Amino acid sequence: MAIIERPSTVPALPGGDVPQFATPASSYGVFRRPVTTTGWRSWMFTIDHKKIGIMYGVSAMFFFLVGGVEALLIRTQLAAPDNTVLSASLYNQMFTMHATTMIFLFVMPMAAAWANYFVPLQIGARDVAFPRLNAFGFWCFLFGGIFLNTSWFLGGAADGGWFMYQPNANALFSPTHGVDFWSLGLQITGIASLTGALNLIVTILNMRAPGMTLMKMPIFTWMILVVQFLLVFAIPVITVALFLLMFQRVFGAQFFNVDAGADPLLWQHLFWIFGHPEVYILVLPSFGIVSEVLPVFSRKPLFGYKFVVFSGAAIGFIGWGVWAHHMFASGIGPVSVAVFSVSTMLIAIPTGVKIVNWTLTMWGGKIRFTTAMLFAIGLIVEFTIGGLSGVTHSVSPSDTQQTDTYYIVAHFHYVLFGGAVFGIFAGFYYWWPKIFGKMLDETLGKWNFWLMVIGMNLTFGPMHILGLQGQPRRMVVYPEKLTGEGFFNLHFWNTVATVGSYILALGIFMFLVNVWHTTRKGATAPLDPWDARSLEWLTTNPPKVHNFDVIPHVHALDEYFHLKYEEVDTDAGPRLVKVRTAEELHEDQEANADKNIHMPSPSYWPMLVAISLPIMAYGIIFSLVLTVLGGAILLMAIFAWALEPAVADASDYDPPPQGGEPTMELANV
Amino acid sequence: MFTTGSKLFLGATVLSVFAAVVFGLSKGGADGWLGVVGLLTAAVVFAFLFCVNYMIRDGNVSAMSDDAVTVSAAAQPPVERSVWPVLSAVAVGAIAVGAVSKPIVFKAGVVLLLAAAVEWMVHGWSERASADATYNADLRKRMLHPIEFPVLAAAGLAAVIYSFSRVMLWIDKSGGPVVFVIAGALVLFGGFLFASRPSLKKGVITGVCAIAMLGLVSTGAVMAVDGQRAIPAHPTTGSDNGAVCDLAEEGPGDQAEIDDKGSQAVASKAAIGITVTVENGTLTAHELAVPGNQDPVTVSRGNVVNVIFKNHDSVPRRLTVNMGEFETDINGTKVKERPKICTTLVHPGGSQFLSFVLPKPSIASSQPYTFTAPGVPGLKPIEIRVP
Amino acid sequence: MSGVEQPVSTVRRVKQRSAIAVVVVAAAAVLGGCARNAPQDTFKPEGENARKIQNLQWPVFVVAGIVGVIVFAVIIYVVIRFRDHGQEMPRQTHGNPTLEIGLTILPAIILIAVGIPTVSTVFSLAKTSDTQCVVNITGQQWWWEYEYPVQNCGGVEITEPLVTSGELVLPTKVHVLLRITSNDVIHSFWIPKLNGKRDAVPGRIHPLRMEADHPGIFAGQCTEFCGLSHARMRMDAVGLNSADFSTWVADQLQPATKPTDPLALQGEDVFRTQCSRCHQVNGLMEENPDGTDSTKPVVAFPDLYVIAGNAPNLTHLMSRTTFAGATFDLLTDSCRKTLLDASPEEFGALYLKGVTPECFNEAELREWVRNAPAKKPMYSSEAQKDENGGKYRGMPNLNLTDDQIDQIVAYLLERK
Repeated sequence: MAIIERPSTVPALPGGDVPQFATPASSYGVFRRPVTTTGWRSWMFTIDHKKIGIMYGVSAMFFFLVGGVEALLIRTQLAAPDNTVLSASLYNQMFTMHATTMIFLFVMPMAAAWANYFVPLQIGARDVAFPRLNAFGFWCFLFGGIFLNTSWFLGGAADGGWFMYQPNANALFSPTHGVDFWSLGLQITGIASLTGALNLIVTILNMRAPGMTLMKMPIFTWMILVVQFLLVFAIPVITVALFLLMFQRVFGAQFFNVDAGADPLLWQHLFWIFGHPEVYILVLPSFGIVSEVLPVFSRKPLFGYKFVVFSGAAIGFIGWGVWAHHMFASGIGPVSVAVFSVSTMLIAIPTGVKIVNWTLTMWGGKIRFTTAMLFAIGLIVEFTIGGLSGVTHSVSPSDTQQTDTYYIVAHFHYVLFGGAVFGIFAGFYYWWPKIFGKMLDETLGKWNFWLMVIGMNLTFGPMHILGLQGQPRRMVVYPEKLTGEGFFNLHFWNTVATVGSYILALGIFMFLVNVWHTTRKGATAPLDPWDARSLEWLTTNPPKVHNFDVIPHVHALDEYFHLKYEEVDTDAGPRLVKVRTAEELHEDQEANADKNIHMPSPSYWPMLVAISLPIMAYGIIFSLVLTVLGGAILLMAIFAWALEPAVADASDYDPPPQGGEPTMELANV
Repeated sequence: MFTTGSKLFLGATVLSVFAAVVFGLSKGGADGWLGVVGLLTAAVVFAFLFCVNYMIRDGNVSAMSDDAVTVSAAAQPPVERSVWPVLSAVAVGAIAVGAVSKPIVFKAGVVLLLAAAVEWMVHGWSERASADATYNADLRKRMLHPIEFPVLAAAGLAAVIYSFSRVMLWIDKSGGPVVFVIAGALVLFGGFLFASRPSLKKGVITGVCAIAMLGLVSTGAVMAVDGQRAIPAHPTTGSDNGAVCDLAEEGPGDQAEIDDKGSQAVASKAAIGITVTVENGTLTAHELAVPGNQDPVTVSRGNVVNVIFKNHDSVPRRLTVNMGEFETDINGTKVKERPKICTTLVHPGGSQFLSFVLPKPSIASSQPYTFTAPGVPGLKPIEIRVP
Repeated sequence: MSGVEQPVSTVRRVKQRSAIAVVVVAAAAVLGGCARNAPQDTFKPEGENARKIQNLQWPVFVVAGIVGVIVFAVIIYVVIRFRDHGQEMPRQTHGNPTLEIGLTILPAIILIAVGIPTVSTVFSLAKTSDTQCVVNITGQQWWWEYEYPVQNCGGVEITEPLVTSGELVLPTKVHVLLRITSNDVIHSFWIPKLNGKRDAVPGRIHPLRMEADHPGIFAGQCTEFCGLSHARMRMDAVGLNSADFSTWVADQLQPATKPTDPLALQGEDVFRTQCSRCHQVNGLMEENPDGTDSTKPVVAFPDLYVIAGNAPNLTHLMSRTTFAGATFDLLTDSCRKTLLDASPEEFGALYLKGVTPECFNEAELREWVRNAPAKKPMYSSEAQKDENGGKYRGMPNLNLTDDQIDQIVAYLLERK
């Protein structure tokens, strides 16, 4: 309570005629800043990129389980024809929220978790460029996600499909508040993506360690950079669309109303101009992760690093020119259809380059089959299947047969589950020791991997058949008479898919078991458990608050590897020889540690600003009074944030119990 | 740790939240929400008061330290000048005047009074916050700037925008773009000048901006009083039961009816159902994607029909849709209604969009539905069939 | 981290191979284990347009399969050959630009080979100038309406516009142009055996070609998510040869006949008071005060009652084999099976018989008339009507008595 008067020690003149002015010793801050480094407050108000990364990850995994339960319910309903587990209304909400949760509340924040934690470590920085903005982004995501999911308890969730086509998502055709929750919730999580993206772009472009040119940057950081640019351009588009939707539903605007001369296809264009780059936003971070994992466990550099970088960037560009391939059946005319067919085929090329490069990275290597590596190889295989079925969609006449059938569901689950999610799990096994200092159990890990692989192929593999044999998606029931004849009819394959989904769930359960097991009695991780190649392994496990005792100077791609290994000429030709161990490198760091490392201080305001947004959103749905209240909180908190210095004042710290001046424990936890 | 006053407000906060929960659970629905919002607002207010009391130790310096009594509150320099008493008086006056004259004056008075009360309170408190006048002044700023700046900025922006909009509404249609370009250029030029001369005195910039704003606001005020220019309404599609739709020339009234930009819902043109063309005294209809021309044309009942009318004649023409003949019973007398809808007159070579719905099938009407172009000699109307 | 530095154990290798075996078996199951006669199979074209798509898509699927097999073979080879069995640390090679460029150009060539026929098929499927017959199609929640304009449809003269729903009757071997639109939300029209899908977008008209090779019933399903009963918005296309189609048109042009059965005659009265607000029956006349028919036709005005502004025309309900968005059968299972199994030559005659009393699946129609929303979820309760500005979405529960239901069903059974 810094405003509390702290009288000067200079006493007034007793009985004197001139009073002595006493200047209080405290700062002007209304509240003391939350500077504790332990306990729940150290998490709630943290602006440390590592803690924020962990919180992103934990929240995302929570939503992953929510979305997974939704998926299981969907599959249970579809296990048999004319099933009645879910009502039509509940089923529609279920698949809408399953997609929304998995995309916006699991894969995107999970990528944000990896990016937050590892980008600064990989580029040799001590934090991100805007630490408080970073915290703000996280709270926006979390509060937005919670807000979105409260709709289940407040009259029903959104029921228009994650694509929310107009006019079906209009107030007339979707009278519950579900779509309002959806549009407002995604606007809030969109703020998280946008601020996060700007933050990471600035961080990557400005805060790389000396010597790290763009072409010496780790491939994961590269992919994250591409994704952040995609976000910066894609999120505004969906935000505009969501705004229009919100105005149409809440304030009676007419953006998509045919009777008012508008065209519902406008929504589709806006949505998919966002929606297609979004696919790459989801999958490129995982591409980055496996591009780190494969070289480490093949003990070779990434094959064609430059090709992978440029193909990633190319995907980022071409990804903007293919959105209408989601609309081949929408009636956009043969010219548009032909153009978008061709551009869609075009994007298969850079994607193919990646598959080729990963395979060639392993070629001639010395492959260790750790769980992380298995997930990475799993990604190559499953993503290839998804990519090839994707090429069949680019043939637009064929797509008009398969779009909106289970063939599409199969395709994008191979891409997103086999691609994005496998990459995320590869990251778990690869980076867990770095984050928590303990090794995830490899045996349980292999159970986890194989159950997931089998489960995923049993779930989504049969969907190819279902779709090609004409089962449309988003159907709460399918009649028995349309399942065909023979033992292998659509009923059979639907049951297989349902069984597969439970195996898949079991696989994910094994991961949770593994986490629980590891937390209790996992082996302590050595400094460099994988003989890794990039800079994040130069520091301790888990990293110190300030990441590096001394900022490394970078000389090569895979700097850390080249610090450990050198090529020595022998009689039998050049050989790689280990010249330094991880421990030696670490001792070297500690010996030359920088003095006076200043880290930014924690703050209340990012969280307070973020919490005002759902309050305003509830207000838009239920009562404008709440919006005004939330707006007031927002205004105050932004101002307080703006006035807050980056580093806390000494008076914010408690004086030590033994008396004397308070110490500013900053970077020495 | 907690002072007596802060305890009171803390208790009130908790009680309000509790009451809100109880109320919300016991009384659902729209009424419930209002109550819950009210109680939660109370909770926020109490929480704020709690924080204030906690922060200032109930305003009782002695709660902290005996020494403070001797060094602070009583030992203050004399109070500064303050504008708030005067403004409060003005506000009270405005409330009184507004109560008998215009509600807007009353409302302005209330807002001003509230603002003055808040400012006065904080100002008064801050003067006794400590024994250091500079510190106290900073404290006041610290408390009030977060409110003052955004509010003042919003009010200032609103004044500029509103004044400028009055100016734009006063100027005639052709002058508008000129003024807009000049204004925009001036702002850009000013910004450029200020940016290129970083050494420019702050006072000069403030002065220039203040004069510009003053000029704008006073011009806006004058023009608002004078009233906006007459804005002619676009002639729209005539549908007044055929009064205009049967005419081959412009409808009555002083406005020219031909409007090349009128009623063209652009997006609807993406998939026009029917193209109707008048050429050399004949009318032809072409349905989208169907080979050849159609006569009669079949349209779905109750569906929106989007039509483009093309005038390939040498004189202005309009397209009229005769939407049948229906007998209605008004107070016992049977009246025949012949609803029609038409485009405005279309220049030779021009085209216009028309959209309509036929909610009843052909059998419900005693006259056929038709497309026609009034005034074309010997024209054979095209029948529209609705199943 | 014990396993990391050691060579891969035999157990792991066995696991690896068994995994490969699983994948191979799965692939075989995928390729071989498909349902026979799935009604909406996208690889069994029975019309010219679907065949064009088929001719384009199967080579693409084959090429994709081959590429997949090659990629997997390489990955399996790499995984087995280069596993850690104690070999030296590999050279730190950063790539091979020539190989890279080659492996970039190769897929590009394959894609060009796919792209050219794709573009040409797109334009060939979009051609409408050679069509010989037009049907206007309107989707609404949750059924399809088909309207045959006045025209010469592949040699059959249609003198008055026809309107029907649920089953799209097409003359076989005639290029039919469908003009698809919607009355409320976006739907998608899809008869997989005849052509790909095309969305029905309100305010827009989307053309789609269709042609059936032979007489028969071709199943379809709305494929753009359209709300609550999306899963129950079905459609069938029915192919009839030229002579049968001509008969069908002549039948459809007939107005409704006066009921003969006394129960059905009572049903007519119930229909007039309860159903005719939304459902049109051509030839149904308003009643004079003395109980005789007047010359004034009963005109339905569904635009005042339902959001879509439309309800199926029931003049010839029993000439169709399904009702309520082609979701429920009017035929008993055995009769339906007979119809579906009929040879192309016999099919037309059997179809034109319509629903005979012995084939009539009365139970479902009764349930529907008793309480439609219970049979197919629709927003059509009184409360939902108020939310929607006083209009229903779909058919409400009319709270008819058992007697009224008997009479209505009797009346409907005569609507051929």
